[in-house]
Amino acid sequence: MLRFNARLTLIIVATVVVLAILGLYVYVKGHGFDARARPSGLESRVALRLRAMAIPREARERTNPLAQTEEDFRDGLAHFADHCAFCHSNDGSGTTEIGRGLYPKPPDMRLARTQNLSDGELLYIIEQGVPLTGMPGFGTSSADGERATWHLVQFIRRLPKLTEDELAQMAVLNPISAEAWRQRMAEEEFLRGGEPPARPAPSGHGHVH
Amino acid sequence: MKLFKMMLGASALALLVGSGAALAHPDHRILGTVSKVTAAEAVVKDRDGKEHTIRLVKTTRVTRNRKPIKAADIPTGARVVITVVSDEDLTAKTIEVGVVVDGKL
Repeated sequence: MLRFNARLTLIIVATVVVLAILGLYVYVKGHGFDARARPSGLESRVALRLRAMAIPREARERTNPLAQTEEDFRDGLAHFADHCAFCHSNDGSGTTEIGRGLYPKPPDMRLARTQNLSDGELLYIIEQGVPLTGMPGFGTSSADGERATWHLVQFIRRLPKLTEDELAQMAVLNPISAEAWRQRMAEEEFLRGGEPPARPAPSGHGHVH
Repeated sequence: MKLFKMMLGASALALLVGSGAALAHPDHRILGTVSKVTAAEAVVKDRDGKEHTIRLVKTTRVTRNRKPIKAADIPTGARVVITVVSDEDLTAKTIEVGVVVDGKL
């Protein structure tokens, strides 16, 4: 009797596995993929829960050890504009070309979902990254690297109340190509009263009148 | 494991390709002098003498010497560098205001 039950269980499990694989095959073949889509609510909740579970308690309970001076904030602002804004945008909203195309999308870091994370959780995510998302791990395993990340943590706390002046400063610090840099310098000269910059060679990208 | 590594590689490649696309994203700018400003629009004459009517919206960021100012404070005759949404949609994303000069560009 026991042997019969074991065999029946095995058949049921094997059938479920085969059906699941078949179902997955049909789903994948029928839907393709699109990183521009948004994860479902269930998928987001499960992923966030798993991420929270995966951060070790000692990391989660760490607090920002910096004095958090205005100079520390400026360092964080410059670092964010240079390294993070490309995906997260200067205001932390995540509304960038890259951000729109990622799956999952970068969060709006001004909102509770990010702001309610502890200092230690923010540090851990920046240093370790988040597997299977667009978030790379930036940790260098050095004291200087960790200090720079704490600057970012301090800056992220200020995202919900960044001023227009601070956003304008960040716009200047965002990375650009050498050609765009030359164009910007020429435009600044124009604004000071100099000659209008030469028209860039047609490349199919951008347009200056 | 090999499949996992391939997926990671593909993700990294996609991110790199995506980055390139973003770097190459068109930036439409208009350089000229302001001939008229209202709360809703600014008229700008470019180096060819062509006039462009630029739409001003709540999110338009106006700066002078990298400091934010109000659109109403843009003086007539000021040189400006304006980033617009596209050649078809002349809604201003940013306006940088420079010196006021007389004469042609």
